[in-house]
Amino acid sequence: MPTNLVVFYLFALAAVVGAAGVPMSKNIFWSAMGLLSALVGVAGLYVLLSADFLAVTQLLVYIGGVLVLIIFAVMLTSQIKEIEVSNQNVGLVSGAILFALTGTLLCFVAIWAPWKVVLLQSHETTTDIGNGLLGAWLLPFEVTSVVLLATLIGAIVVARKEIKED
Amino acid sequence: MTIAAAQIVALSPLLMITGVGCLALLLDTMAKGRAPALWLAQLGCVAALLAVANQWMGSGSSQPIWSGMLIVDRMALFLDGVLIIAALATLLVAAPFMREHEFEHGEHYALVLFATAGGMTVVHATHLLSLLIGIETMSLAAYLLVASWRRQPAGAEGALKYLLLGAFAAGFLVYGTALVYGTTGGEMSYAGIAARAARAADNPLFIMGAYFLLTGMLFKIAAVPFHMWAPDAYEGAPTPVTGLMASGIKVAAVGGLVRLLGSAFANPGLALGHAGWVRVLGGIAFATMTWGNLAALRQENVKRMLAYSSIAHAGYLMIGLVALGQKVDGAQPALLVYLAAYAATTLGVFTVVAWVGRRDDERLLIRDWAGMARTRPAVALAMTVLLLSLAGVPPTGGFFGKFYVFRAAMQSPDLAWLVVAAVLNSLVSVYYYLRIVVAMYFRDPVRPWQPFPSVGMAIVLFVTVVVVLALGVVPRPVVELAAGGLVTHW
Amino acid sequence: MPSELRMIPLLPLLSAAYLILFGRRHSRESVHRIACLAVGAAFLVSADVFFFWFPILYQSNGLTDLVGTWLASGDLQVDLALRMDALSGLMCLMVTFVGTLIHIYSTGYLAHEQDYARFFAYLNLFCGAMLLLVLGDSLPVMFVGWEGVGLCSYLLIGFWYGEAANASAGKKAFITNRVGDLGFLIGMFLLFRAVGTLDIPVLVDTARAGSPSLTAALWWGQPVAFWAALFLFMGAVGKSAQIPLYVWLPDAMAGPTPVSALIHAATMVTAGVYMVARLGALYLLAPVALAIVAGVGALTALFAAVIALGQNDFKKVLAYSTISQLGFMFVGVGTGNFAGGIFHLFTHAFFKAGLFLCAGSVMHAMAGSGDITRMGGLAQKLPFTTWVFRVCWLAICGVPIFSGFFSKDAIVAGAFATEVFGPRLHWVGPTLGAGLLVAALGTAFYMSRLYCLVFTGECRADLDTRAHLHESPFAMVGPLLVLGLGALLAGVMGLPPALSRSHGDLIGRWLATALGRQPEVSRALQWRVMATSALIALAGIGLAWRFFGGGVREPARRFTAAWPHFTAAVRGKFFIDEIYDWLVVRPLRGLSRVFFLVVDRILIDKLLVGGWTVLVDTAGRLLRLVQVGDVQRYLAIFAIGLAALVYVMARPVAPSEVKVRIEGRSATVDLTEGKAAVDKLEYGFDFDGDGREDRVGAAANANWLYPRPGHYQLRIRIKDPRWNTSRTIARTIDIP
Repeated sequence: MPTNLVVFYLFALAAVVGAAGVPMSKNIFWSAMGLLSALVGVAGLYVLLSADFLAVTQLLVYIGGVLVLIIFAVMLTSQIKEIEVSNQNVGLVSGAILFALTGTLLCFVAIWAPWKVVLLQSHETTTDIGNGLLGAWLLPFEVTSVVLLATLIGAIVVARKEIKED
Repeated sequence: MTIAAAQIVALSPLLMITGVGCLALLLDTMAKGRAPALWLAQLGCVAALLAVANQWMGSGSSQPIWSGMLIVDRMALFLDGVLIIAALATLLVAAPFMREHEFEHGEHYALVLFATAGGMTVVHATHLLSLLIGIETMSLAAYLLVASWRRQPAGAEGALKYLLLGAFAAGFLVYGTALVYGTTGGEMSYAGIAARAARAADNPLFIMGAYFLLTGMLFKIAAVPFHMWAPDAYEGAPTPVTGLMASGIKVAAVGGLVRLLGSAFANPGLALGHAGWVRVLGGIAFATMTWGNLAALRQENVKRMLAYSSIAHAGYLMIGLVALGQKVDGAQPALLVYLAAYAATTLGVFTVVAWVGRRDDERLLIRDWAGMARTRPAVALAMTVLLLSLAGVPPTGGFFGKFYVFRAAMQSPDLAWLVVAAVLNSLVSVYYYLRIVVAMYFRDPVRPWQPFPSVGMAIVLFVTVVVVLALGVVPRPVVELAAGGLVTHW
Repeated sequence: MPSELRMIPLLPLLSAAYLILFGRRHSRESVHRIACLAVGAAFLVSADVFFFWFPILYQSNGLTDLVGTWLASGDLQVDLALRMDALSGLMCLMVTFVGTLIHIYSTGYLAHEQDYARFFAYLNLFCGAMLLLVLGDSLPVMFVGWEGVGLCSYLLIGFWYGEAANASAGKKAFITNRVGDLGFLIGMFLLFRAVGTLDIPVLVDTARAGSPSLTAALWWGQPVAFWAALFLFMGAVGKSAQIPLYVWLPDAMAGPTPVSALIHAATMVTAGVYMVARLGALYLLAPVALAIVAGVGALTALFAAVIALGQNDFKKVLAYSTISQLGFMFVGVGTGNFAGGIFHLFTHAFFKAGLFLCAGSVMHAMAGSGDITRMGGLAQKLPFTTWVFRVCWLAICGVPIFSGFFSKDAIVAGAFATEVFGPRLHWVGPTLGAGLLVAALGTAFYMSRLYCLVFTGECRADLDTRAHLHESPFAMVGPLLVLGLGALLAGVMGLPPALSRSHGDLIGRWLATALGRQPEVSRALQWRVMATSALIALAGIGLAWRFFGGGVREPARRFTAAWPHFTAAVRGKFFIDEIYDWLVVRPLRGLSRVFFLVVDRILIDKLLVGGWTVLVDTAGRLLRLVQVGDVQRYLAIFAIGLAALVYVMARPVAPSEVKVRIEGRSATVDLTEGKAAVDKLEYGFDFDGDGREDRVGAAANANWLYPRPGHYQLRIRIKDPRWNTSRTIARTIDIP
């Protein structure tokens, strides 16, 4: 087996197992760790696809930012392990059936699809992406700022205390 | 790449709404009280409406913006108008509602405008990326608006469900975009997809991508089986926001679907061919209206009942989409007329729902509405007209919307069954709409009626009723507008 | 062309709007003055137009008042136009005339009502909607009126909403009517698809020309005209209370009596008949549809007459009687005798409105009770009411001279003489005619029973009521007298030609341009029908008198007595009565009970109405089970839906409809007729079952020449290259 294939399967395994661990683990810390594994796996896959910028961003934003924040929150919140989970409904059986159903269909599609095999010319993509974001894709890039603004306000709206409540 | 001044002018309604949203945020932090931000937001809507009218008069031809990311054409301008009016009505109703329920914050006005801007982006989108961003802008603002009623536990619950399921649906939207992008050889603009669809259709991945996109959009219009969030979110949201969700957001999503299906996936092989989306959408339309109506029958909560009613209406709307896929002449204008009539009716209905509730007496159960006709005859009459419009009884706009859509569908022999099912469904729906009418007219009041007076609500209610009736009596101007004509005799 | 035509519906509509908005601020006098004036003015305007343009109405297509283009999109253009021709002019006069009378009557009847303004507003609204229905020049305009009258009917039935029964009766009426409206809408869509317009005159001209767009086969080998006519008739069945949608009408009697007279007897319920007559040319293109119309009409006429025999509520008897009479009208229009149907509609409006108003007057006197077993001997106390009732009663029974006699005969004779059904269905006409004669006997009997029980003999009411018996005020008696006069004289409009050559069949000649050809009835047949029906009417009255004259007489009482007395009665003196009892009364009463109990109460009320509710109820419960508020479950449903979508597109869909045509030894197999799309599929045909595919390719059809006769196994393999899936269809083929 060629090395890159081995590496691919390793990363894929990390992604899949990590993703499965997030909902299945009863301990929220392990869930966060599962998320870490999934995100690292995906970043690795990006590297294999020669998507260097994407891989680095994935690491920086999701692992360096989002995940660290999550883990901090988990660690700093006292007695998070004792917290009563109101919804114990994991539903392993129905989940498995559902997974089998959708998974089979997706595999079915993936197997029968005529994949076009292209040898990738590996080159660094950051320049292209930078040019693209400030050139051809400027408009959507700018509109995205509205999304972010709305999200920011949302965080404030949801987090702040009701002023007139008492 | 440069952007021409003409393009900025063409996009001015969208830019105005977005800009005024940001300005309203700023103003809210600086000015005293909430009124300045509210006035600014309302003025912005009016100005944007004027800009839409200006665009409409200005040019009849469609104008691509930013190399085909967006388009400004008559359909988009028509829906822009509907969306901005919906936003304006929401602002007018939301202000007194939030004051009464004591959760008034200036950000809400900005969020209403952001949601509208997102919706406008959706109806202008001719590119999967702009569609995606528009949908996300609209949805995020909507999640937050639903969550804004902090005192109401149902609000947080509904918002969380909406957010979780919405994120799931957005995932499919992105996944679908990626699959389509990959299988068409790097195409995301509708025109490009349409050009390569015939060849790409041989690839199951493309088909799957198309259906994932469809799923993501169907989620937004609350089509069965992707509708489960709707009753909870509608119930939990502040009532004016529910009105916006049922009117503006649904209108935008249907507009986006019309574009997507009407151009990118219009290829007959894709639409009608092997398990084409026309057939699939026909089935979903049937399931949606039937499920919505049957579930509405037993609801005691008016908002929940109207949520199911809105699901049922999504089913009727999809009949128009199916007719569009069948290449029926006039399906698109018919759909637009229906959307306008439906939006006006829904806004009016939710205004009444918002109006009847006091801070400690929400009056959300049907039996709470007993005897309204006795003390508030004008509002009861208005509500009756609006409900009859929802039920599709002439001479209301709701009837004409349905009439046009069904007539368009009847042009295609394959859709006769769907029309029969839809008419039967609207027959069933009469039952639950009449329950409210019966409560208002034929029951004695249980508690005294003390709705809070509000000029804004009165204006919205009056205007929506007039529009609904006018659409039923003289639908011609709107029909011509929907067909893209310039109405000169105004 | 006269633009005052638009004033006719507009006047009552404006008055209704005014009264709804400002009615509370006015005194009772001004309220009813406004309401009555509006309808009265509408009557005067219609009369003015009608008589001023008399020759034009008669000779041409009538007058049009184009208010404006109502809606136009693509190829659909609907004008908001009103048209008065011979038919709609007549209807218009009738509606406004009877409407005015009933408005005046209501001022007396509802003198003590709280919601005075609301009542008159609704009544005005109804008149406006009905006039829109009558005058509408296109089907959509007609439909607006059609729905409008339904809405008013709903509002007025539930007018006294204090009692739950009234509100639910209103709802029942509205929902039942919507079932019919579904048919109306579909019929309208079909016509639009076929002809491309919804203007009634254009439709009628197209139908008269026998245009192929209407005669082309649509479904099951029947032409477009048949289906359109059938669906439109479905609307008529709902509105005009025919089997199986008549159930709402008896319940509708919960409304105030003037409403029953105006809406549920004289005008709205006849809208179906009017619509069929209006589109008569369309129906003539489809004899089977006509036969269905006439058949349903005759069945309803008989059935409702039998039920009416056993009712003890004054207004219920009249309600079933209305249903039965509407059946007569449908036989009229269903046998191509449109003028006959309209003639009966016209006379019926007079005598049935009269009867209802008499009922109102009687109930007014009886403190609101309509129980005829508690009445009797009211003739002395209510002289005017009694005289009017007598006239109307004799009219509906079909006693010669009175209007009902002539109109009923016109229908019966037309049924015997009709040729519209063509040679294959020629037996339909006489069968229906005979059925109607039986129904006429029933009519004479139950109406006479009603008359005897209410007006003759001793009063059976309690002392308190008896002390307060009084004739109604002039506002109520006046309209009664006018209607009675109408019931007496309206027959002159349609005297049989056999009676008067010069003045015979005025209405038929009047409507000839508007309605087209009518069945020719020979003079001999006219005489025979007249004689028979006169005899039948007298027999019915006589029989009823024998049973109920002066109160419940011995034979009738014996029947109503309990079972054990039965043998004693057989041994009694009145042997003839016993035979009557056995042969006539009991079966009839029994049948009436059976029909009423089994069909009306169980089959329709329980199963159709109740069963529907139960079904809806259960479905609602089940759907609520799914919506429990659990996000996981929502997501699961989302995912299942998505999986189903992917499955639907992934599953090998292939034409399942296989058409095999055999000519001699050559067999042609065709798959293209199937519903599913067939492009991109690959087909393999194995004709002789030897496992080898004889034809392979993208063509969905193939033919094969068999060397010798025998049984062959045909196998078709359909492959979808996209999914690499295939399925096989097998058939056996017999080669002779």
